[in-house]
Amino acid sequence: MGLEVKDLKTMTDKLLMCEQEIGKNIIGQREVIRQVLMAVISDGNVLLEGVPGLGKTELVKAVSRVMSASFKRIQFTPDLMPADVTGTNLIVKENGSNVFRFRQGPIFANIVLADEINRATPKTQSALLEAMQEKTVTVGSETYELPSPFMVLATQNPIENEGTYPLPEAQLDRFLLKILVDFPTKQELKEIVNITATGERPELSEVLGADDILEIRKVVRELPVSDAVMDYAMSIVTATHPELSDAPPAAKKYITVGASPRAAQAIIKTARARAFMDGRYNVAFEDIRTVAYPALRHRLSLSFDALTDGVGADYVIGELIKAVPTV
Amino acid sequence: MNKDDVIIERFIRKLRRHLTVQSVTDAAVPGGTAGFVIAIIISVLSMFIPFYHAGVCAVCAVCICVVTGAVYGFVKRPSMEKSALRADSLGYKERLVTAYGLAGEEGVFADAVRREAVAVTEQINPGRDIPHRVRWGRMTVFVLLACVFAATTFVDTDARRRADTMHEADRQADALDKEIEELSDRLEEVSDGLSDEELSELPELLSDIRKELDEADEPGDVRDIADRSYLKLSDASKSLDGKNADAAEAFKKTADRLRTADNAADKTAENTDGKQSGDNQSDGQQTGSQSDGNQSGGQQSGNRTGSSQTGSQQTGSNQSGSQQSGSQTGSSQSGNQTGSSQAGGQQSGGQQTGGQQTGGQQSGNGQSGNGQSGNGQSGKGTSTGTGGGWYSGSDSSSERDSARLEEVTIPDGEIGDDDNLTGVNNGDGSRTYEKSDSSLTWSGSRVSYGDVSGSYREQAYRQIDSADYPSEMKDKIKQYFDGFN
Repeated sequence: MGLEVKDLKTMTDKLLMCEQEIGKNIIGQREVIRQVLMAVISDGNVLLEGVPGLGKTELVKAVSRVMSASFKRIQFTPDLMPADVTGTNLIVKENGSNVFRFRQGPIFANIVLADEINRATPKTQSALLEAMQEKTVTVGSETYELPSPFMVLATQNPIENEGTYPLPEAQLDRFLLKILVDFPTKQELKEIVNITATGERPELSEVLGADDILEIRKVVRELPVSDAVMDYAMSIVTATHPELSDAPPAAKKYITVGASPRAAQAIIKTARARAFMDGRYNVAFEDIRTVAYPALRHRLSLSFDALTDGVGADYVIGELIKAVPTV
Repeated sequence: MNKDDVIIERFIRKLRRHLTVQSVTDAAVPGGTAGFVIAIIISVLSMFIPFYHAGVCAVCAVCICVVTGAVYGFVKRPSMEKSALRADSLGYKERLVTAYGLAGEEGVFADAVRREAVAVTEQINPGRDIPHRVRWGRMTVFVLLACVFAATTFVDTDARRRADTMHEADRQADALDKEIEELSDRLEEVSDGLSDEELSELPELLSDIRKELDEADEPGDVRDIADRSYLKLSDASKSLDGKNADAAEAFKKTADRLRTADNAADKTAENTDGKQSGDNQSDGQQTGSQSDGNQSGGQQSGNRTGSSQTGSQQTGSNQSGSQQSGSQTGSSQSGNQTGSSQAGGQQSGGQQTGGQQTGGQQSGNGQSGNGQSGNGQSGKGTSTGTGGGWYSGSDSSSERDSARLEEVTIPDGEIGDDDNLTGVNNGDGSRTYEKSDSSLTWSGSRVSYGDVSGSYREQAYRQIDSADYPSEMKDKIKQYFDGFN
């Protein structure tokens, strides 16, 4: 690659600056910000889940601002159509004749905010599948490349069942991470109120360009993972499968369908990103354990037992991590 | 591999050695614990079941288990990667294991990780940072079991004494068996001039002796077999003399060797029995000075009676002691000897160990009062009182040494002093006895025991055959006389 260690440090520093810049606008939520940045440099999409008013949309906006990347927001509603997302062919008059011309939808941006994604119908949600996985959009017989870097940052409210459509598993699996946005602490809440009361939002400076993001992604992919750590990650993923004879008791009881191979990829990719942002040049067990929660929680289908026991995905993942030895 | 790779690998190797010691120890202790459990079981069983090699087996079990555990621990020792992970677990975030996996690779990350790993190696001191842990619970169990095992090995039981006796018998029997086997081989080489009957009977004779030796489980049995075999081989030697000098010589030599072995066995048995007797005595009232063997017969009698030894073997000791007390009559002595058979004879001899009971002393102390045959005593005094088993009641009963088996003194009615052999005591100082006209010997003369025994047996056989006994009883009676040989 022709890089030196100081170049790696520079990249890490830029990411940390990004984190700080976003932190100016988003009070608290340090781990959420970091996880979003991890997804950015891991070339993955993010599903942000939290109750209304926690700053999910603001967070995505802040991310787009510090990255000097094109940003589009799509407010998902029940009447939103796929063409409203991807774009459509329109009949236009050119030189006296009518011809079809493709008109790009809002998906054509570096960072797309799919706000309240679970309010749209599954048909419209599915319009994102190809874009999220292949980074392309197909309309009619034509396939269009999306700009690079491209990522979808979607938000959804967990408690709104009325008028919402749960995301299908295929859609969920395409999100690299599902990040839970928690209610801020009392101190953080106070700061949020102070900032918003003045009506003046701090100016965010651009730290990362699109090229920087692409270069960092390329570098992070090379970050070494030892066999032991890789095995550990794979063990955690396989532990989510209750059908396996050596599955931990928690998996057998609370999981009906385990994580897909994408989960393993997601864990390793984000673990690399986490280590890189931590200024390390190798992945540790701790990275795997940390990223396992956001990488797995939306990929597990929990059983009725989990529902009746009031057990969530994070609890199950915690049990699996306890059950899987590092060595 | 660059310099950093070498440093990292050397460090991990050093760490692995350190961890291997722990692994081996961790596995060897449970192995030893299992070994001690087995050893205790063996040791306890040997308290009730005669098993001479129990101690060796128990120790071997411990050793094998410890070694097996250690080998298992060595085989299961941490790999280089796991050793590196162990060091990384001290908070170094898998730098060492990653660097070890990147050995030889180039690239900015490989260089960076290697540099960090080298820094880690400088910070870690395996002995200090990863100390060997002692699993006190396991160690406690291990030591406890070792103590229990040691305690069980010191428990003296009849079965253990019996095992010693049987082992000694086996050893003696093996030695004799070897002699017979050699003779058998020799017989095949020098069979010229032998009749077909001899060619079939002699090997059968040797085979019978070996069979008997196989079945012997007491030193006394072995001695008896040796005695009988000596006679048989001597007879065979005589019968071969003139026909086949080599075979005769071979039989004679073996017979002599058997006799030598028999004498050695006697001494061994006496020593063994003496040890047992001494042990038993020390359990009782006898003091250490008594075991030095300076006591007179009378003293021994009193003390030994008081010691109240138990067990069939020990009874012989008491009998022997009572014999030496001088208070018992000749008949009762004879009864004792007969009853005790080998055991009585052995025990008696054992009590005489320690060197204090020389022939002269014996004659003076115990035997003189008992009225035992003076024939055996005279000239062969050192073995007084050891007579046992099937010689009891005759002169031989008091003659267990070199003169035994060679000759039998034909009692002289007028000068003999054995009540059993010189007729009926009339109570007025005279005795009534008869002299047989059909005697094969003369009174006062000495003839070989073999001749006496053989003639006696033949005569017995003739009488049995001519008598009106049930056939199975005849066989039993014949077996009885066969036992004399």
